[in-house]
Amino acid sequence: MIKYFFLFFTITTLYNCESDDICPESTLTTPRLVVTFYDVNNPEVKKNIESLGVYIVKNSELILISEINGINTDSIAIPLRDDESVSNFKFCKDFSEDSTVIPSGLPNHVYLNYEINENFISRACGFINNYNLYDALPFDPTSNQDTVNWIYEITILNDSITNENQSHVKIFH
Amino acid sequence: MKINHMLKYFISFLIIFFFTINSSSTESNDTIEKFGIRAGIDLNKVIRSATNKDYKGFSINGDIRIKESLYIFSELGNEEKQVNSYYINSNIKGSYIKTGLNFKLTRDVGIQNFVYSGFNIGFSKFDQLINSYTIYNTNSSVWGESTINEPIVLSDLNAIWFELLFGIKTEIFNNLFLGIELQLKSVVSQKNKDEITNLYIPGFNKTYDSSKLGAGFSYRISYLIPVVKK
Repeated sequence: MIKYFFLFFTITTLYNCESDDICPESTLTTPRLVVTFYDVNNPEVKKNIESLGVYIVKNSELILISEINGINTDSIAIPLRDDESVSNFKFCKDFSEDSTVIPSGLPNHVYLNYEINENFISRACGFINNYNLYDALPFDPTSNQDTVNWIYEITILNDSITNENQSHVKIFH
Repeated sequence: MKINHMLKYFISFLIIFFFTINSSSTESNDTIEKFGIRAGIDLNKVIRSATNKDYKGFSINGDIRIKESLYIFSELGNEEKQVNSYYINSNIKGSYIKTGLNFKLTRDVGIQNFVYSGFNIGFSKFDQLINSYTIYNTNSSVWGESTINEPIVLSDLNAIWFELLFGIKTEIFNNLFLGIELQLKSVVSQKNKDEITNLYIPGFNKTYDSSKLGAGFSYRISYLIPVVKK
């Protein structure tokens, strides 16, 4: 009988050791906003941006997103601000990493206004954010300063940002 | 206040048992040497309460022999537990009751030293409070992490579970018993809110995301109140 007791004991203790407390890297995380770039003269055709750099504007300070530092691309994914429902960016064409000027290249303001929805994922990872995009503007609506605008228009393709599988926003340039 | 409440439960518990005993003892004529209610507390909960800052719990239990090697068992308890991780700080508080049957597996009737197995059904009513949480975002290095300190209150949650158990009990002094019991549990049904997992269920113990199973351990001290001695 004691034999069974120990068998049971082993099973239950082993069970307790199972770790559910570490958030696995494969977990679905808070999605980024996927932006695709299109040709303004040919709205169905994607158009690369030469040397794109993107800064975030946080408390009127510009911080470069390290992965987007002068790349040639027709689509990017940018994280949105989680503690506020507004994110401001400076999209810079002809960005140069060697430049000491901030922002480098031709900056264009991008303003995004959205609703944050918290979603419970798991015990270990807690909550992620999903967003509902309200406005995407190629200028800063809070300032009346005109900046160099190489972006003609931003249109919202998909206002519900729950994954990064499709494009949410189209930028025409 | 809590203890007061417990005491009330405990007394009514005893009264019920006395009545059951009185009605059943007349028809039982097996070779039971000691017959009565065994009432006790879970020392494991007392020790955990004293040593862990994030846990407070207390439970009382009782069993009564209804056949030669068959016992009805019941436990009432109250637990409060903080479940903290990098992303979530939460506090779970509630009461539970469980009841079931224990079967004595050792044959020798005379000795009050025995191995037993059995099952219980448990019911818990509890509240879960998410005090603060940090949004999980692998790209948080860009904007910084967002921690929300506005608590999420999830009240009136409940759970029903089933448990299989295995235990040893031994009489250390006359009528005083010490026992260890292990339980393997499975949630039958539970109520959660806002699709947020019940991180801990009082009486059930820690829950797991990957399965409905859980495990428990009790270290009980109990006293056999002799009612009939044959």
